[in-house]
Amino acid sequence: MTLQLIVIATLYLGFIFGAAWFFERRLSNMGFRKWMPYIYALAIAVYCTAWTFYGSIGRAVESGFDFLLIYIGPTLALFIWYPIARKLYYLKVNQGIGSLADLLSARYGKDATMGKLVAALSLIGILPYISLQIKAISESFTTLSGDEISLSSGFSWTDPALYVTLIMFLFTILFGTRYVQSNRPKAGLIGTIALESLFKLVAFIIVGIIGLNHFVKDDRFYAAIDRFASQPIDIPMADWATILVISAFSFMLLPRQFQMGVVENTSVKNIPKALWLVPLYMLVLNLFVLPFALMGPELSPDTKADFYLLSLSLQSGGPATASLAFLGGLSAATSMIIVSTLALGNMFSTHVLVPQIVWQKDQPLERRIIGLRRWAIFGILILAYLYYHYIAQKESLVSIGMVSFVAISQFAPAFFGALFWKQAHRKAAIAGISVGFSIWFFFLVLPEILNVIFGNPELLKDWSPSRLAESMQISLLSAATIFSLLFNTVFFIFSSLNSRPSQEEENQATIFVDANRLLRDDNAPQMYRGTAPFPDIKSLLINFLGNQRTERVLDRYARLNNIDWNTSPTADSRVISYAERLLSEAIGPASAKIMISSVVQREELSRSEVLDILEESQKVLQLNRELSSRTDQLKRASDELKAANDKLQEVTDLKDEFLYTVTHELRTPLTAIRTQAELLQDDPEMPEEDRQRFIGNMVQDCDRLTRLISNVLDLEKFESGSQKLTLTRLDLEALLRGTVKQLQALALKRKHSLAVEISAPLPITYADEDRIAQVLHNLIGNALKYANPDGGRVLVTAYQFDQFLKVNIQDDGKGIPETDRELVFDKFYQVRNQTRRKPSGSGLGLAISKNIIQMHKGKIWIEENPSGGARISFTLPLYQQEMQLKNPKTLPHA
Amino acid sequence: MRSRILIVDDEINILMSLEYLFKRKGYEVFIARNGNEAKNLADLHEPDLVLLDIMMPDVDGYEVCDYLKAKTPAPKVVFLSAKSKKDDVQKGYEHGADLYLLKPFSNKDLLQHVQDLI
Repeated sequence: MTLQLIVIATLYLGFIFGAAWFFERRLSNMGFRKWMPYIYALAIAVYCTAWTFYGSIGRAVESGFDFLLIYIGPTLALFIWYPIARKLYYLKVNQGIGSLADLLSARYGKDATMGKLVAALSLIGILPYISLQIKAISESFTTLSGDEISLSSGFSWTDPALYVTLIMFLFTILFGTRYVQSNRPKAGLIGTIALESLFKLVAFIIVGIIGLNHFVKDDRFYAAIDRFASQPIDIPMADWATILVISAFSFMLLPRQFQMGVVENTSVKNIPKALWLVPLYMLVLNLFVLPFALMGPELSPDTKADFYLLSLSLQSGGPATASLAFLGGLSAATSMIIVSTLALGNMFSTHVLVPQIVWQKDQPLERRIIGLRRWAIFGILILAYLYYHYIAQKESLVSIGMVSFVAISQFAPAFFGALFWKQAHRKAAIAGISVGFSIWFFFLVLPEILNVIFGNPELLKDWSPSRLAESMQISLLSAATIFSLLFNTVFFIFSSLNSRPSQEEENQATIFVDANRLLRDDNAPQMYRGTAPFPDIKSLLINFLGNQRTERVLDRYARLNNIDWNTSPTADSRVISYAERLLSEAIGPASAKIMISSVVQREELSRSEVLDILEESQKVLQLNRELSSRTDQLKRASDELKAANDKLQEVTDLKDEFLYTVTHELRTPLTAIRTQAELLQDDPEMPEEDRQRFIGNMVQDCDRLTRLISNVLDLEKFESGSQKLTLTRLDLEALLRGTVKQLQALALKRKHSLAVEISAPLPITYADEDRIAQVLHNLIGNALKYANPDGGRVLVTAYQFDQFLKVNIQDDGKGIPETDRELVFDKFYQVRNQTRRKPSGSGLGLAISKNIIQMHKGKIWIEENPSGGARISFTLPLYQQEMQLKNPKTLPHA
Repeated sequence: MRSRILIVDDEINILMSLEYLFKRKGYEVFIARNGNEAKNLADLHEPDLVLLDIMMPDVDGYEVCDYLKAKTPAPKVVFLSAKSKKDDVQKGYEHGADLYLLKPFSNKDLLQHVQDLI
């Protein structure tokens, strides 16, 4: 089935290229955002490699349950992952960090040596691990196809792993090196890795179910279970503790884990779901390990334990099932290879290769940086392939993986120190890592080398690692782990305590340890005092980021910070810090620092100054947030202000208009008086009859003037709030009847009928009797004025209504148009905005009445009157005692 | 032939005193208490000059003025108004008035202006 395997493998690889292409275009869309936490969790599951897929079964056969420890370690790590991942995310964004080497280099004073050390040691530690994946692909292919590829005989063009390796290179450079900024999430990559994780999980479940279904029909299965159950679990504590610790560390620090968990993370919000999804994923993936481990020796004694999954699935489900298992293993291996080589390539090129070219200033380096990264990735893949080809033949899958775990764990002390211990010192970290790696090398690598070269791993006699481990009665792996981490940590802590950090390192330590508090925004913290010519900074950025991107980021920065580059020829320290961060994304923190130093005369700030600036910017930021959240409120407030202003303007207009109207009303009787006075003066011989008439008229006009003036003053008192009401015992019915009686004369004169109807006795209330009388005079007087000129009728009714007394005054005139029913209570309604005069009156009666009633806390309004004519109603609350009522000062009524 | 004057005002006291004034000075005087009455009397008697109030219960003074000025021959029109704003005065002239006098006015001035106009 060689051909079929080649075809389906090719199809699968084609599929992931298609998926990557799709995700690259679509994943940033809004619709996908809500899936990001799941994608993030699946991407972290890149932890489960071909080793999980095949090797776990091998290990379960070898040593029972301890294969699970490799997943329990990460599960424990996830308990503390959230605060760490959150801090790492802030640091990644804020410090332009694209790898573990960047992180440690940036933290320990932007140190180039630290970067190189981490890059080189990661490469050494991980390279065999990548080889392992290539080996898994190759061997799974061999196992299924039955073709023996004789690898020991040298290089072979027929090795399918070679082609997979080359295709992985293509994939990695296509979807992993798109941007010069190493810390920028790459949608195609994340999506594809997540999809591969999903695929390997589903494949394993299907294959597992089919297998289990097959096994349960076999008696040997139950016998194997019994045998397994009766077997004592006897793992030395040192051994299982070792595996827990190194797997927990590796889960956080392995280049591929750091890449997916930190560098490719798009938001802090993605993290929480991963905390339980990833352990769940690992649990499900390991569910079927044991059945295969138990049945392997029974059903497929000739196959290597690592490939029981393939041989048993072929037996239980035929070629299709076996192919699915093969593809699952392929997806696990490819995703590991892609992410690991990308992460290592980034580290290696940034810290080892790029520093060689950064001084070639006057040419664009953006493409060359990406090019170097691609060469690094290519080199790493080739090395991994060669390693697999010549060295990694004999080892089982798991053991090489564990060696890598121990290597990566050497970064743990420096890593945790970087994040949580301000005193952690650069030299101490370098010393600790170096010592740890040396011990690792001595225990786990040297025997292999001696074996390869001299054919004897025990050349060192009593000092050989395996004898040392034996004498302590622990495994070689545990011995290596314990010694390396112990010396590493001790060196690290003691030399940290005995070293004084540089200013730069001290500042970085503060930022790293307090990152959660200090770095929540997007601004790079400012570390220097100093300025540089802006064009210098800009050309530096163009050099490394390219023209377009430089323009874009500077535009954005200018917009966010209200800077106009044209008018700011000097870049201040904030801009410089920002530029350094941008450079760091492309060339790493150490090179970025050197590049910036080349254009800036800078003076480093003391730690307390940096802290001050950071706290300050935090406050400003907080303020900004509050401000922006209040923009709406502010806008609303300003709208309200505008409305109030309009209202005020309106009031002023009304005041003007009021004055205008008052003077107008005064002019009319004045005119009459003056004209008549002049007539009398100019004509001494005027007949007595005319003389009397004119004098009488003048008296009348004077009365009218007096009335008008007192009304105006009245109204002014109400509106200024100086009017007081004195509530005394009031018999409303008596008042109504009395008022009507007084006005009967006027009604008679106009030939109107005026009547009161009160059907039920009205309760006594307390009110200002004089004022209520004034209201009644006004309202009934108006009604008589507007009643039908031809024998009109005016009717006054009153009754108790709830806790009110209600009075209606109704005429049978033309009525009041609905649109005017509010307006009639305005001052001078009858003259305002119109030139048509209504029957005479001061025009203030209704306005005054309204004030009086409202001060009593009653209401006055025009009621719908079905019989036509106007019907004006008011209510008075039923008060129980005498009191004084004062009006709060109000603006003049509209 | 005596000049004819039509006096239009809804304030009866003003109307009657002006009537008395102009009759004493030998004019033929007609009086109207509202706009429609004024139009009718103007058609009936073809006055030479109309003293016209602006604010009246039915048709306002501007409209009456338009009506009068549309006649041939058109009478002279003098607005007598308490509306004292610049805008009011301007509006009066825009409607073709020959004069806009603000209330209160002196009888002598009024007589002088009327003599000047007719």
